[in-house]
Amino acid sequence: MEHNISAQESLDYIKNVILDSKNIIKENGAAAILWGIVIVTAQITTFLLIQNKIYNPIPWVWAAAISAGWTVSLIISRKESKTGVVTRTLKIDSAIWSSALVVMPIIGFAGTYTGMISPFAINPIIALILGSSYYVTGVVYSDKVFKTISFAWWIGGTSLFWVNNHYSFLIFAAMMIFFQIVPGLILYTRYKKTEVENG
Amino acid sequence: MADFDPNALDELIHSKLRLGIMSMLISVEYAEFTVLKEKLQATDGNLSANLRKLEEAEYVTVVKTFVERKPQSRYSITDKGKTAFEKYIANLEKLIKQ
Repeated sequence: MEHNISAQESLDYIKNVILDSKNIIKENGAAAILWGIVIVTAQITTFLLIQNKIYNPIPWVWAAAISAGWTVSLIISRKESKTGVVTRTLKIDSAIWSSALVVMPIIGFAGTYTGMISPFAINPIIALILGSSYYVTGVVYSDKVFKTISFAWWIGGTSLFWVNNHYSFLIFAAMMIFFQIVPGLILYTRYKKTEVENG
Repeated sequence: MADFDPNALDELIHSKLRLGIMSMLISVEYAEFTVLKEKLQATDGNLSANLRKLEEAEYVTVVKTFVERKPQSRYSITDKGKTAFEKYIANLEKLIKQ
């Protein structure tokens, strides 16, 4: 710009650098896929245990699932911190998902242990929280995929309030596949394609 | 398209590399030296010198840390830097409207 670059060109340069910086870290769907697999496994296991009237291992199944999910999240978070840059969108996104991942097990464990919440009410509540988290992610990344998913979770979660039996776990597992794992795979494919294009 | 009036602009930001640094840091929490170098396609020496100028003006701040035993210099923009950058952009816009 010391070389007669115009004011407009300078503003364009600033805009390009800012846009490029915001795109340094894109959601790659890995966490969604891995958490999805863990939760689907736990949901189906819970369904089968209730179907066979075996109730004692259920809390342990969920304790193992949550621990596995958190381990996965920590590994992904460590990997992201190695990129040497943290964007504001990533910070907001991480904050909303970390808080959701704290709140959901509390509702699940404390709610059912105290008897304040019916075990069959857990899934609809969790689905609504997931919907809200997806909505915030969609807004911060300006991503239509996440915004659409949030509505799917809200509609699915509301519908689950009418399923007052153990089939709630099976339906939630299906929702997790279609509203989390499949979109996660789409994001992962999109991310890999961009990575190849950028060399 | 109006050309710059250098007197109306902050000289500390009014350089392509420093403008690039400020533009990048305004949109992130922090960026490591190697990320700035890669994204702005600068050499080590040139980037260090320009970062030092911005540091001396308190427009950016650096935190030196170790990640897996490797040293990392994480740069972020200060409040003073944000204000200066916003003023710089406002002046650019005024120049365009002239």
